[in-house]
Amino acid sequence: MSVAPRARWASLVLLAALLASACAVARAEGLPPLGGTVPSTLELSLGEPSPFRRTGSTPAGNVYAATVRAEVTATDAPTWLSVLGGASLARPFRSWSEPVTHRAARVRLRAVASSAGELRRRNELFLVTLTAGGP
Amino acid sequence: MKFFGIRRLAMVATAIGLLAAGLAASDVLAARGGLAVTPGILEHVARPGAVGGLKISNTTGGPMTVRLAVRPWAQARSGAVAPNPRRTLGKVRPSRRSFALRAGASRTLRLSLARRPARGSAYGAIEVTGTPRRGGKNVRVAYRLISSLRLYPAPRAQRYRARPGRLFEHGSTRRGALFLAVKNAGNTIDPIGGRFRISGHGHTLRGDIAEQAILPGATVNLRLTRLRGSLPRGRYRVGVALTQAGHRVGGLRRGIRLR
Repeated sequence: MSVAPRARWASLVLLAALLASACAVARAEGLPPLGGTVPSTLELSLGEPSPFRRTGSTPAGNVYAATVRAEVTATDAPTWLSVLGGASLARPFRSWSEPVTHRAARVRLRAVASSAGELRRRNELFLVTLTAGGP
Repeated sequence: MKFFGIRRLAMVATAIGLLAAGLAASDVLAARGGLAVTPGILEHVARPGAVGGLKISNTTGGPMTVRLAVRPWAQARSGAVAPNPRRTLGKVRPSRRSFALRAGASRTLRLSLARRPARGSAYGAIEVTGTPRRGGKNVRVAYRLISSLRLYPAPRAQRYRARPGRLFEHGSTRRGALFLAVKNAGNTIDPIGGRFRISGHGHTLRGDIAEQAILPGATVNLRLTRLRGSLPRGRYRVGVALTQAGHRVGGLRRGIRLR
């Protein structure tokens, strides 16, 4: 036991650390340099939505939910995220009181339909809304 | 011992794999991109003519249909604001209302004010909706960015005025709050706050009213204080002095029965 396994273990840890730092450097190279002024910006990125899954039922029909990953950049606070469409409530579900950069959030989409087939046919549109600054 | 080494090796490999997968997933989202609007708040003096431009960028990998509408804000009594979906600010005209934006492209739209607003100022929401041409299989998501348009009154035309309305208690003296409805009768959105004094039954309570931005013409219920048993039930005198941008803009002296 002794030397050979320990050396292998140490080399693996070193390799992992090198890989992680290389990834961090590669990601940082794509960013603008630090300092200076930033123009007032509002940006929303969305990932691929997950398929709808039945989560419950109401007198109006079955409740289906899906999620989508969002990334928010906003230089003007406060900023809030909300969803318009389906059975999603229009009220904000996530807010930030300070400027944010590439802040991740999970957006939950809700729809009520009699069946999954009807939901597919409806091909409902959800407006993921990012509001900045208020009045 | 050899088995133990293999287990360790597997654990390290899994950790490296998870790290790489996490980084890759975040890169996938970043690479997908989205919709961006610059500036997030468009400010100008409310004078007929050009009031500024708005740069809209599609950073996704696919084309998008972009629609733009300038809407007035609707403010609830709680102070919450949202664009009024049924109305548009007719006097503010964008150079285009709808257009196609290909992947990675940007477009700058000009906004102009057709005539001077009646109050001398206008505050609205610029609603930019981007719908990807290629939709999902059974879930379609679109982008909606709401930035703020602030057309301020000219420096000499600023009016600071607040009109106090109903004074009411919500809940009880043990667990409740005292509110005052305040209307912004001026033409700026500088937050309205102030001070209050409640006296009676040998008790006096003083404090500051948290500032709240109220749209010109809108009424919001400002919370004077929480009631947590510090005042017994009974009749009290309430005095309020409202301030906005350092100006005394209104006040009241009124009696109220707390339950």
